[in-house]
Amino acid sequence: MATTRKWTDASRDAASIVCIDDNPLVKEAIARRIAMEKDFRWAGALGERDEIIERLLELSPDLVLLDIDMPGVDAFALVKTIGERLPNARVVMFTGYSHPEYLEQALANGAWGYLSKSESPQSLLDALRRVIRGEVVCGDDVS
Amino acid sequence: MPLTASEMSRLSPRLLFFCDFLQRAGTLLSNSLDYHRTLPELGPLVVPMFADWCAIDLGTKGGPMERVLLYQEDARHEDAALALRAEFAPDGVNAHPVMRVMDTGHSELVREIDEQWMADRSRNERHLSILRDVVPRSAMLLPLMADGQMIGVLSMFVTQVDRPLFDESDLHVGELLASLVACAIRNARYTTELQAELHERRVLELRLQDVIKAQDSRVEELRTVMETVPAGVLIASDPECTRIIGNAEAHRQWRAEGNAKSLSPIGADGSRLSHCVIRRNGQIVAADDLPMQRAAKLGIATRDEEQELVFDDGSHRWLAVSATPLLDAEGKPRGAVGAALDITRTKQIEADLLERQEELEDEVHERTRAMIETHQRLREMERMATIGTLSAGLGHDMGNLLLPLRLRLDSLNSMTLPDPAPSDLAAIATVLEYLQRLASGLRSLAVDPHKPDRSSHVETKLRTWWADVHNLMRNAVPPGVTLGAKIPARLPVLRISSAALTQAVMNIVQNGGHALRNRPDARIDVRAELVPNKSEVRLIISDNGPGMDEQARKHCFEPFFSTKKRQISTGLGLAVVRAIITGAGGQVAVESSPGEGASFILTIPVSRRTPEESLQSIPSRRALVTVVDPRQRALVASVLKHDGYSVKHGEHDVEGSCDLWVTDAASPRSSTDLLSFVGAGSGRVALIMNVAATPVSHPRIRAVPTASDVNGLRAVLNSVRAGGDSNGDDAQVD
Repeated sequence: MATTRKWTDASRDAASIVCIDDNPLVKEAIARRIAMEKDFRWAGALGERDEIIERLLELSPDLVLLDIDMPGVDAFALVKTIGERLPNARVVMFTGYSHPEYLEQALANGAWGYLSKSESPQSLLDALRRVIRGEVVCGDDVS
Repeated sequence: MPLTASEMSRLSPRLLFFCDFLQRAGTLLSNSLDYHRTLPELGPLVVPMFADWCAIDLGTKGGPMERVLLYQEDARHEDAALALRAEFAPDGVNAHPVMRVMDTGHSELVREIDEQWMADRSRNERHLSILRDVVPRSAMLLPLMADGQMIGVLSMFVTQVDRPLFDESDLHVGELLASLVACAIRNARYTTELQAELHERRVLELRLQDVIKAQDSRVEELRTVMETVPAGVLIASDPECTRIIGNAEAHRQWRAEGNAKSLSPIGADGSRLSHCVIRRNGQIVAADDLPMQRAAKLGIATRDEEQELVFDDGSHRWLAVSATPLLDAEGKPRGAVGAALDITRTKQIEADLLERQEELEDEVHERTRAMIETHQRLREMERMATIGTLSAGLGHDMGNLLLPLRLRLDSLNSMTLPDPAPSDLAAIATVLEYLQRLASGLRSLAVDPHKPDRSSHVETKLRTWWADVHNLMRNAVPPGVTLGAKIPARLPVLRISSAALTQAVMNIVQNGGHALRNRPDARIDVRAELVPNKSEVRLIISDNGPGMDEQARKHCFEPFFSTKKRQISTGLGLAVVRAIITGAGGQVAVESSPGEGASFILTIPVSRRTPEESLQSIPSRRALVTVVDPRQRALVASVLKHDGYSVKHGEHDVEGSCDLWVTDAASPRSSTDLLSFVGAGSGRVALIMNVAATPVSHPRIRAVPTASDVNGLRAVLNSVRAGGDSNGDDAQVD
């Protein structure tokens, strides 16, 4: 886990966000809602079939919302790889599962947050803002 | 007694002669009791002192005769004597001088014998001729009588011319001599008979002694057998069995006193059997209906009849009694013999075996029941696992779909829309909220019976837990409903996470609260108790609501079963309770009937620590985390929380009452601070993350090389707990 990474968003107007999920309905809804927030910038959505790391390197997001349960994708390994390849991107894992060991595994691999998909939209947006401020977030449902 | 000399001088010579003669004869006859030897010796005394010929013939009247003596000393008459001895001795049939005396029993004195006398008493011419040759001049034939019976005749003859003829005085002397002879013969015969009798008696005595010895030997053998056999031997000598003798074993069996003469329960002579009651097949047996009594009186044999002797002190003895009648010469019973085997040990073994068999049957029954129950529970768990897997998948998918719906709805709500769109959106939001709860509930049903719940190593101290959550629970019930709790202080720690337990109990309390709305004196009580085997704790949540009917009670834990209106219930509350509790290895049950309220019983396993350890309270542990990196800090905090710590963050709580301080090299706090922290309490431990070695040497300051190594961190925490646990407070939380 990189401990020297420093948040470099001070020069930007809005934090760019990428969502990685296998469900287009989720990605589109998040994109629609994020676009309504002035301090966020929707950078794009990726799926399990994309060359995720390459695309992330192109998009260079500040924050990655990553679904844990995607077919064919080891989300925890992906968190670690993102941390290595994109040290400035902060990954928040996004899940329908509430296993405590997932939380610890996510944090151990470098994730900044672990949120439940049952969070309310406002809670979700607040959590993303806290991560951008440098906090680690864990939803009530998962901690 | 012989005459004295003066007496002899006063007697006449003839009388002296007779006396001398008779004295000599008496002496001779008394020499021996064998008259066949003494009578022939009388011949040389009588001849020549008293006569010339002398004969003695013995016999009975009308019977055969035996000539035991014919004596004379004249050589001229040897042939005649031989003929008279051999040919013409009296035979009891033919004529003979002796026969007349034998017939009459009277003495016959023939002073002068003439031809006619001889002719009358000779058997034939030759006999007469022999008599003529001898020329007998005078004769005395004297009867020999003993006890009034003729036993023979003493005959004496004078043949010599120079001897005077017999006269009356000679007859007297002759009769005296005959008396002596008869007496000697009688005595001899008596003696002989007596000797024979004595001999016979002696023989009989010897035989009898042999028989007695043999009998004594048999009796001794029998006595030895009686005392040796491991059975009581009984003998009754009368049909009424008034006296029964027994061997030592019989006395032992019946506990008869050593001097008891009889073992008869109905005997009056020293019977000591009144101290016990005899039972057969559980019934008291009459004294005349016992085997010995039946055999002795009725002649009925009995084989191995089981009797139970119940003594006054309450002890029991079991006997197997056999009895056989003894019969008299007419075949009538005159007594009985019996044998009694002590089968108490056998009966005890039988009883023990029976008891053990019953115990085994009960055990088999119980184990079978438990096996069936376990099997049913396993099947139920499998079913629930299947349902849980399906539900979790469904809940997950529902959650995935609900997220975009809620996001879209939230987007719409931020817009200004014309009526009635806002109210429609509000209705949609209500439905979404319901669906969201449903999805959460469905996800909670995921229980895998083959995969231990991760929370199994998480422990909850019930009393502390209730202190933390009772306000939350109280807020979950409607106003007017009293929530009471009775949680004993010394309960073992439970093997379930506090969060899971809170969710389960919250669901039940909420259900109870709903059922109790608008009811007077409504109350919900939470109480806990340790089950007898101390391996589980029962947490019982009771309400005094309307209760449940059988249908509701039977199905209340099944998913989607609800007695509430569908719009406010997902029907998953109690199903989730069951999923949580069974997931922790416990069981759920409900006791309820209409109008009687309901009691939900959560049986939860205690911690796997030893019962003694479990009965001790978990110390309240607090940890301060000052790791600089927020993700590492969150990770450490998560691990600590799941290890039972309450976690604090920040730099200003070091001096507080924390037991554990987790920091790292990036933390601005110094080694002095660490030493000060651990030095303030013997149970305090400090961990420094991301360093290979601690900057200061202290046994309770430890290094954790990699903060992201969750297992490594957890291992260190386990070692801290193993070395740092101590008995803590057990405060009352009521």
